[in-house]
Amino acid sequence: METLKELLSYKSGFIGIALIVVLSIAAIYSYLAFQKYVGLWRNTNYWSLYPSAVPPEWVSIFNPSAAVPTKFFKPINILKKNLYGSAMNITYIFKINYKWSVPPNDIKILINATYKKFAPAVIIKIFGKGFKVTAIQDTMSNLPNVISLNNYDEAKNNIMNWANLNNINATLPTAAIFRHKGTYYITVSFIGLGKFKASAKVLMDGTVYGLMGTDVFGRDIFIYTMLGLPYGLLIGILTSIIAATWGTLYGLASGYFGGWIDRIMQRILDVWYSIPGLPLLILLTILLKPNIWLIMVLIAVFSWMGVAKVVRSMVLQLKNENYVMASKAVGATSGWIMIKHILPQIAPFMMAQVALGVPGAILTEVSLDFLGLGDPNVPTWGWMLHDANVYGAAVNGYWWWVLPPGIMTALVALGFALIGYAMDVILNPRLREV
Amino acid sequence: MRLKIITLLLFIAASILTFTYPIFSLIFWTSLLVIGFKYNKQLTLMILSRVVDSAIVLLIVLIVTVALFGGTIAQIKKAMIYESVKRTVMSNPQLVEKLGSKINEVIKKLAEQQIKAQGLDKPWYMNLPNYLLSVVTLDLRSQVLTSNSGSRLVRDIIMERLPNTILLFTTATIITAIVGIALGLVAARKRGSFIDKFVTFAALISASFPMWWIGMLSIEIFSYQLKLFPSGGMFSVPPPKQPLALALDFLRHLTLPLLTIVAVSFGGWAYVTRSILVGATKEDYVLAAKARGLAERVILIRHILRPSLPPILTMVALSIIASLSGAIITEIVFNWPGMGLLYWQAIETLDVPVILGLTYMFTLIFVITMLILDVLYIILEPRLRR
Repeated sequence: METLKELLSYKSGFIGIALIVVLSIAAIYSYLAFQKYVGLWRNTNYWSLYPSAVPPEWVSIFNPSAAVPTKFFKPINILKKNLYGSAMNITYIFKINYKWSVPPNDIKILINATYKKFAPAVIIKIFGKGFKVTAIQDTMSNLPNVISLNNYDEAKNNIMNWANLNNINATLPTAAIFRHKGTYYITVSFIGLGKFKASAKVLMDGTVYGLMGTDVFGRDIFIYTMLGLPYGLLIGILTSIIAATWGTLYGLASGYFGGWIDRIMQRILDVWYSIPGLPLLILLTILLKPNIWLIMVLIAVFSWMGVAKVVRSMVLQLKNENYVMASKAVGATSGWIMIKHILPQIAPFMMAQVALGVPGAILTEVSLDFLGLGDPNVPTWGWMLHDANVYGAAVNGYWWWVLPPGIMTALVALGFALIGYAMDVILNPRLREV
Repeated sequence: MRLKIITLLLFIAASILTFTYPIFSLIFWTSLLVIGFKYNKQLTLMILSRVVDSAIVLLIVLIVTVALFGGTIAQIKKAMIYESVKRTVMSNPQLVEKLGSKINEVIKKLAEQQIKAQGLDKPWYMNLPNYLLSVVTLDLRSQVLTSNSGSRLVRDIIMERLPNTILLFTTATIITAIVGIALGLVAARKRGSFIDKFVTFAALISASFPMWWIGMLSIEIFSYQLKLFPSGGMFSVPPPKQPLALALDFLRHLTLPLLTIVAVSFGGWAYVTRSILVGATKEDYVLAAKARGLAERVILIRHILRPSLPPILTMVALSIIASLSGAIITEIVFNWPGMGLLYWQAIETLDVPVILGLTYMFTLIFVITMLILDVLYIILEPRLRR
């Protein structure tokens, strides 16, 4: 508690703690809010609905007429009509108020119908100022649930034929239809026998999406940047705690017992120090194909040595203090002395080491994921950057894909580095400014 | 004094010979040892024990990597051999027809023959002495990768890449060290000034941004958006013929990665230099020197800089080590044909001999740097010398 108060009195400590608190709250919130997207991380099918690699919505302030937002449309009217006998016609009418000078990336019509025996017929028509085009005329059983005007062959061919007949010069169906600003209508009719249920929705894939845009798979970058936060914090803190705990135990044992135990343990420490971490880490991840928990342990295995060294030198001083001698004289066991007298003294140092170890742990994990060696099922910033690199984000200028994960990584690392620096100053009074 | 010069000359001769004629260098090393034992036994013993330590580290890392490969990779390799044999047999319809139902047996037999020929049937510890010796001398044949000249000798492949890594990272480390230490000195002398604040800011950037991410960004900005520098590699394809144009082309390719590395790392250097110096100014003997009325300059050089030198040297050495292992990803991002990129290529193609050779090289560089560092420490720290 004392340390915390002192920490807050330093500017860097205050900023660091404030940053980490804010990030932790955001992490808890995003985990609760976006939990279901963890499982969808590798589900490219789910995300194919959304536009691929489009910038965030707020770029529209630079060029409002070219930034078509991505948007679901609900029907403005549903008409139900009984035809002869048991036949029925259900028509959904959608209205699109188009006020942009560029066509949307795609129009997707999501249809769903449950029927008993006969699949209903589906007719999709698009109405604009002075034209009408039939995109789809088929039975439900032949159609997929998502009909993309630009990619589903039947719709594409119908619209392009119409465009050719009317001398409209366009390479894509959406470009042929949305040539002008104005009001467009899309009607989806289900015509069938007997009882059936049907629903329809229209999705306009824009040229911009959400807060942070999408990646090439259509994944929402905002959601996964936020989801990276709980994982990033968890990985960084847990790894650092594992490393610091092991380092403390090692340093404690080595310093307290002294003699030949100390000599052997220091030799091992020196040997461990001289092992190149990252190459071996890469090797191990390739051989073991570890999950996220094992990766944390592996990173910790290569980062505990500094703590051990610091703790040992402290223990060497502490064990000759009078109160330790006194309790030894009254017959206290080694374990008792270590837990009651020495550990409380080195605890703040251990905490500083945990804070200082987090940036390294996070950066290492992000690096492993960046190389494509991490746990593929965990949506981390490293994987986002890996995908960005693999799918040529730099060549294509997808800055909205590269910036958020890197900045978030840096923010988490920064928060802990600030706390670590402040604790360093508190614990090494010589660094204090006069 | 004369003794020092002789020792130094002997040391240089021995070091050079180690790389050219290792057998002859032994004479120089032993004579060095004899001189050492005669004039400063304790120091020689200390350095000797560090050398033994380093050798142990090398041996352990080697055994561990060989063991790792012996177990898991042998399985992967066996499967790969089986698959390739199966493919060759299956792609020959006449053979398939001729063999009929016995086909699986034949494939197994052929695969086993190849496995035996590569020595994969024996447990890994049987291959150990053989493997170790060939790894240490880098006398291995690569399985997939070749050097530019077409050689399959791992030594050739690695030696071709080593200068590239050194060109980039040693240059970067030297520039970073000069900039960082100079800034740290200024910041320590004028605490609270603008430069001091800038150093702290730069240090935080160093500590929190991954170098390769800054690299990705700078590629996106400077090579794709502004089209100022090439996006990767060491030379244009095809490289220019004239020597001058070639040198300019190389410099153009070097600039972006070099600037990235320096920009990301100088802050950390400056901050640590500053902390060490600030710590040193608070020592009692500095206060005493001030009280005695010594000149500011004398205090700075004798009482502050001199005792700060060993920790700063540690930093220099540790940074070189860190840059060599951190280099893997930076080299991948910049497509710089150094050892880091080679390591990655070897891992992607599972070229075991190259992986082993490179792991050995990384460890060797690491260990030698640590060793030099320790020896320097011993020489610079008067308390350890006597």
